[in-house]
Amino acid sequence: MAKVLYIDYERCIGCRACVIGCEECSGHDHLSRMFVDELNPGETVAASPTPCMHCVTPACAESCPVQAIAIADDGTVLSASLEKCIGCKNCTYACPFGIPRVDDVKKVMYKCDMCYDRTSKGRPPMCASVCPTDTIRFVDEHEIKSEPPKEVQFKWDFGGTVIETRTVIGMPDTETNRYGFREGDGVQS
Amino acid sequence: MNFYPYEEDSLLFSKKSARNVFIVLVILFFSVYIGSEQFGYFDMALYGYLWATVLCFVLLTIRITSWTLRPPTRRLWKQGIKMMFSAKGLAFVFKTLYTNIGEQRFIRNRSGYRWAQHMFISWGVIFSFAITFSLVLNWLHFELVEPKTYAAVVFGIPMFRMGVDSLLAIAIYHGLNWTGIAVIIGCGMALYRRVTDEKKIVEQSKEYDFFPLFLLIAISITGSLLTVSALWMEGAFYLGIALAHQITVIVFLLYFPFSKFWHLPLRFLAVMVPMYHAMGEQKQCARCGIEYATATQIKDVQLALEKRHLSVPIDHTTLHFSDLCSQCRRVSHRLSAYGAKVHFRKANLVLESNEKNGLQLKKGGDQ
Repeated sequence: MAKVLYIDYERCIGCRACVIGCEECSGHDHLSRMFVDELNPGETVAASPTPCMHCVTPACAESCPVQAIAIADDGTVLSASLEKCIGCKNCTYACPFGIPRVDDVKKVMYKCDMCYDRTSKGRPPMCASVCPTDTIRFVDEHEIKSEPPKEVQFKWDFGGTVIETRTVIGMPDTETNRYGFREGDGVQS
Repeated sequence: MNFYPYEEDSLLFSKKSARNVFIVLVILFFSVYIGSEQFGYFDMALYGYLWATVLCFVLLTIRITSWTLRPPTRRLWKQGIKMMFSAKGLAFVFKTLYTNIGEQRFIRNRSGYRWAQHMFISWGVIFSFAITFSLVLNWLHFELVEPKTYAAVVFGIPMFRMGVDSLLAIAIYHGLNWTGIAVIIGCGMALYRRVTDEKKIVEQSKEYDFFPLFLLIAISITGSLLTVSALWMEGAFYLGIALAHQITVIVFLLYFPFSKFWHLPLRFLAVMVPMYHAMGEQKQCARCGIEYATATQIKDVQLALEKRHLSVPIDHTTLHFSDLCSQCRRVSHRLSAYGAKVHFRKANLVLESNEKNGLQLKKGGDQ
């Protein structure tokens, strides 16, 4: 019963509750690991939250010269280990999703670890807990990948390199423009 | 998992390890040979420690070999060593050695308490290493040159003389006691922090976190007990304490290359990083044009990912995702999922989804 993050980003209202919630997670040292990006400032107010995608083959860990990025037993890609990370920023540049950040003063990379202290004990991550619009949900991995409520992204093909991610992104419904629904199917979260 | 070996030659690691271990053993043997003046001043009391030290060096060499064979590590070492050979680079390295390893400023920026605890532990351990290795490998010994005067001899060269009961001599005899006390204070602070401030350091397991602390405390306490026994207990239990101390030290030496202590060798790569970031030419993001990295590092990262069969290119262009700043990477994915065109203003390209969740050049566009 592995659970993963599901991001249905067309529901996002850009309130940034997830960014603040992330800071509150006990292992996060008041460094938020969540991003809310404005997609086209000046043309639209559309925003989108991005947590770590938790790749099966993480480019960040592969490009780390000191093996500071560990993968937990359940597949969660953890943040950099404090004593190993040398702040070189290889992961920041390698990640195709633009997730890891480096604190230049503390010389340490920090990224979403899906609130591992919470999720490893069955609690949902902070961002999913505080999201007021159900943009970020903590759902069963098998279910969301095999019977998605709408078109989703979790296999990314970059010029032949296929990267599978545990985090699932819901594609906007540009056909009927009904948020989160396809022809009368409700979404069970 | 798309797992690929790091190198095409599956025997590469074995060959390199064997070669490096051979070199290290030869250097070690000659350092012992010269240091002990052709085995004339060989300290048999430390014989057990000698073999554990040799084995520790062998294991460490194997571990370092496997580490430096990883593409990103190899690349960073090479770049760092290349940059070091310029005046600017050398100045950088010395400055970073002082701030990172000497003063450990980055830890102070994380928290004052942790900085104090780490200074005690790290300098206690580093000085203990210096004293232990120089005595165990017979690089240093004391000769009685006059009835009440010792000469400190390093590699057969007399360095200085001191009275056998001078303050300096007493400070030197107890060198390992001072470092041991520092280690006990530091480990005590670390244990206190782990018990009271139960922060969830999720990337560490209990055994990984607590065992090294207990081990360091065990080494320091058994070592100090030797002095207590000799000075105030007329040597009672000395042999047992000596054995206990030797066992804890040997466990530490063999555990060193595969444990939390492994971050000590890793830290020397961190010395290269500020130079690596400062001495390269800045690169602009292909979409928004902000300067976000150095061109050298982006090339290095692309090379390392290619070696691991994890290149993340943008189809039908010469660009990779690492040619964009982090924010533009995130936004490009979202826009293409909306079916919108993604404009790379800086590179003057228009992109769209490749229908497989990646990006590609807009059909009909030209590179």
